[in-house]
Amino acid sequence: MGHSGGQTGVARRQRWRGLFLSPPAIILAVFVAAALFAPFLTPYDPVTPFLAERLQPPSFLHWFGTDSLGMDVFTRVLYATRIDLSVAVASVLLGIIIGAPVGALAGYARGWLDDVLMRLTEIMQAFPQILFAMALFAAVGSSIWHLILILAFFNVPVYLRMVRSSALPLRESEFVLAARCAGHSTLSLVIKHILPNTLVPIFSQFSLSTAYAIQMVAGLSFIGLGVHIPEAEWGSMINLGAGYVIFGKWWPAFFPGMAAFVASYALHGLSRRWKEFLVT
Amino acid sequence: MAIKGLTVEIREKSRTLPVVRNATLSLASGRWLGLVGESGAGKSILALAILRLLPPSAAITSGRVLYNECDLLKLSDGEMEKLRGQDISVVFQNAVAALNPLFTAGEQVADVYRTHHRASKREAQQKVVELFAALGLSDPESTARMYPHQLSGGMAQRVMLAMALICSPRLLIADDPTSTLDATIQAQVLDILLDQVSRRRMSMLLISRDLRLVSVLCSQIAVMQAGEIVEAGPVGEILSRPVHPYTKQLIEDAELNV
Repeated sequence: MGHSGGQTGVARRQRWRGLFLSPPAIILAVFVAAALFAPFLTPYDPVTPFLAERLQPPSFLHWFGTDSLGMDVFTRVLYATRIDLSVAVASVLLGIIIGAPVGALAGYARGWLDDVLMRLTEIMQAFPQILFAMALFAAVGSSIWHLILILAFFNVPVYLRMVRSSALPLRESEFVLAARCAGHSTLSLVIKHILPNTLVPIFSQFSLSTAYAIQMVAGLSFIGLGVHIPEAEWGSMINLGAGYVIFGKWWPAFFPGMAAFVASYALHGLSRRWKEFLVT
Repeated sequence: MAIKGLTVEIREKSRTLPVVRNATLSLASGRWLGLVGESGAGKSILALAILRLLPPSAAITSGRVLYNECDLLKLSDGEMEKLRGQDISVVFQNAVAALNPLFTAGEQVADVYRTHHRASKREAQQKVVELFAALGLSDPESTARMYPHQLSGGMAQRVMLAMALICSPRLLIADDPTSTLDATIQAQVLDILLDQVSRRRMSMLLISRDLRLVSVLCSQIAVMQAGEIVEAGPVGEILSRPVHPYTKQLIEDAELNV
């Protein structure tokens, strides 16, 4: 970040503009707006079946058509944004809140603590995630809260290892030594000097993890875990519509699928833009 | 402060390398001791050993570090943390690297004050601005709001000095504090450092490669070569009657540079 010191205000503003006015950022803003303003953007209710209008193709009245229960697909895609984004973001944040400080401590302290934690994260990451999630759901029952906790559980080792690896060179840095000479305790060193300096990689990983979490939410809901029909969620909507695709009724499954695809694509793009932003 | 028979070894795979061998030094309260020697002689390691902040690969294998009649090597980690910054503090060579890039100069110095004293942020900030002014920073308030990358070398060195002095320690270890600065700035920063140290009646361990500098400032000199203190004593005695060949060499070189 030392580069920004020599730049003029105009150049700096252009860099920020390149980040925030990039297509992925704009797409994500649209998704967030859809989640926030869903009730104002559509006249329909997302969870009330209307069997008289089952499987209507896309039209002026129903932009994305209706599904097998007669619910407006556009409305449901909008409302689903709320669940998918908030579950994904909440689980990643929870993973960071737990993983980052522990990782910073492990990287700073090294020794047996570090060894134990690294082996633990390896065990956690060795499980196939979908299978592991299915087993956990079978044990604790499926609900949105459990979904958040399980996805957070997958994110903890990712952030723990990442923050640990950025803490390793920091512990040898002169300013950490200087801070120790000034009498900081281990805890305040980790919180004030190590952790803040690992935020940059956390940011670029954040949108990648969120994209992956969206795929997991949709994937698990698709196989009937996590979010249940008729609750509006992209994966469970695809599940509901999947059986009708072979009859030519593609729209109930296609649009939520596109939404999940575009959202995770945009998050990937944002991560890449952020990395480019940092090196320019 | 006194060091008695201190040995520091670096363990590297199967072999151990002594980097400080059987070092003995003493520094009376309020006096200045100059520790000279070429780079790699073990001067900085010795300084870090006093504070028990050696890198993990190095360890003190024997000896004692006495401060106020207690052995620092026997203190608990917590007691040692209290002592660092409060009783003994350090000024490093490269001040810009010694500051955390994410916090302003003022925040960092105030934070050191607050780890040792109960004080509100505002009080600590006030203290910092006063000290910055005393250290000759022309606009102390705006300097306090600057980030390390915005500081010039001389400013960063003064901020670093403020960090070392904010808790009024009794002993300052100055590890080659000016060698990265331009000659003119070097003289300014050195002046301010000496002014503060003498005004506060602090003791100082000045580590340097520059024998001339040390011989002008300090009353005592210790010469270090390849991990060993080869000669130590009052400045006049060592300069006029050097015993060790390495000391003779250093004196000759210093005079050649005049």
